[in-house]
Amino acid sequence: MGRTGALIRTELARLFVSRRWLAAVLVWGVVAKSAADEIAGDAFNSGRLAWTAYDVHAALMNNTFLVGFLMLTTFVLIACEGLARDRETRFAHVVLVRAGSRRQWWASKVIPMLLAAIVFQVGAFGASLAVGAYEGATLSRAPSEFALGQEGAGGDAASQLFFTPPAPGDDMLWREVGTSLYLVLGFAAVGMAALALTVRYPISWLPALAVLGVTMLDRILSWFIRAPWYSWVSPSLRMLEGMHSPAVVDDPLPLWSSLLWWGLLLLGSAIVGARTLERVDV
Amino acid sequence: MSETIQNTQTPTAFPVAAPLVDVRGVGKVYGPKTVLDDVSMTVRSGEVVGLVGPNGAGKTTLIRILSGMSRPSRGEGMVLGRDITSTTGHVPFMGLMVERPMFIETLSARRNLELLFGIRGAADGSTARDVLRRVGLDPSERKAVRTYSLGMRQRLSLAQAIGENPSLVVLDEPTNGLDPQGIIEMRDLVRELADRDGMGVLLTSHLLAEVGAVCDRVILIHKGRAQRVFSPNDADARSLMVLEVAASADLDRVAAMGGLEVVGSDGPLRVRIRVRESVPDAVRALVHAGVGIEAIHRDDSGLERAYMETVGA
Repeated sequence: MGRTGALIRTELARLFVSRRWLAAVLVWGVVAKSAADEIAGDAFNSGRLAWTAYDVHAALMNNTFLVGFLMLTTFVLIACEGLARDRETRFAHVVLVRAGSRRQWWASKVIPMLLAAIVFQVGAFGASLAVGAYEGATLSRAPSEFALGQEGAGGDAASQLFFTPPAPGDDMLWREVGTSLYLVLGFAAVGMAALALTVRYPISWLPALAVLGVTMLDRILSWFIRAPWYSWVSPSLRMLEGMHSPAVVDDPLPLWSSLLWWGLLLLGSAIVGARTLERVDV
Repeated sequence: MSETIQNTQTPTAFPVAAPLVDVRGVGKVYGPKTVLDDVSMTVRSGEVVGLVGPNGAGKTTLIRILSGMSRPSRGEGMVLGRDITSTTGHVPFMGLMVERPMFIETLSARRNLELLFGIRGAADGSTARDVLRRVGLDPSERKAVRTYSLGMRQRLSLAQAIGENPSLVVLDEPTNGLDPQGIIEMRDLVRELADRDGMGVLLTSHLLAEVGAVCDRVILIHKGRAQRVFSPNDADARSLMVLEVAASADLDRVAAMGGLEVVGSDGPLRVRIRVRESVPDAVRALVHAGVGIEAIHRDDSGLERAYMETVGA
């Protein structure tokens, strides 16, 4: 194993062998239960339509509060404070003196954060299925009655609970895997920006506070700015899968624009973080 | 830390003839504040160099520059062949012990060391066990590091610094949190690192007696500047003795003797003398002159006086 690999292994141990993940498990349970309750209530009110556990995940991934506030903030709190904490505790010194370069050290922070974004979505997916099944939904991969006939299409995207309607022959498992991958990209991009922030400002609680602050500001602005252009600049709206569907919003965002938006944020933050780290005192 | 275990690792060799640390005119400025100003120093293999000064004197800033964590605002030089004005490279062959160390708190000491040693690939699992024994920790202990006392953390921090057999070891306040026995063991181990393993050691401490006992040279830093270099083991420092006599008449006899010089008084019947010849000869001369000797020992307060002259001025 090369030096970068060993650095990554050390960071993986620091990141994942931690009781902080108990907070993630708790959040996964809370958001899944919340989404399941909303689906159950709306399916009942829509004529007792049958729903599946996959609907829970689809609803969860389109809820700005659950995704933007609870999940994203918890993710950043867990996965993006490592560089700052290591500098606060001087663990960075004993690692960096062994690192081949600061770029290698930066890579050892970035790659585990990206893995954490995947783990976070896998956890949310698993919790959605588990809570959905516990609440009495089936695990059928065929679109449910509720998914095919859901209400609310064309409504206010900011408060929209629901998701892009599937076609009757769709496989909901792969559809939701796709949604999860999109959220992995979004979380990774925000996480990278948060990580880059701690290069300049090594304060371990700053990333979570910054993400929470930006999300709150974004939600407040979205109440006042109802123009379609706002969804182009709003990170928390762009994070939602349903924002790309004409069945959900009147002015959907092209998916390519979101992939580009998150991709540029991810890549730009990675470059800025690496370059800044070369110059700062650790 | 009393157990001696031969380190069988291949030394991560740095050319012995070259100074491990050779820096000139190093300064560091944060905004309008100068925290380090025009410090020059060298450290060679087998040498223990101390950095002593009050809090905020610039010791830790200097260590951060030497270890590549911070770039100097002024000055130049090399540490183990690495240019200190660059932060792009790593510092090879250096072991670094930081003050109030933290580790991966949920893992055991041994697991922490295995992960850290794995980065350079210069040591393996058996090295982790050996070095834990060497610093007085139990390698079979499975408790997480978060349960460790400050003293145990200091020992673990020392273990990670020396375990890969580096050419240069930098120890920032290594005796913090150690009990008296731990301090003595630390002192012996530092000397052993230099004398037996041939490492260069740079350390900071507030315990002047310990620094004086273990260091070959001590750099007194005050207000960001290296004010003075004190060598506890040079001929001048070693020629100073403390003599305690039985009666005041003995003091007159001592003052009249040749071959030694009274340089100060430490009490009614205690004087500091400078011995011009060998100590055994001086003791024989004192006895021959009829001086009632209650006690005579080397004067270890030279560093303390130098410190007070520098910092207290």
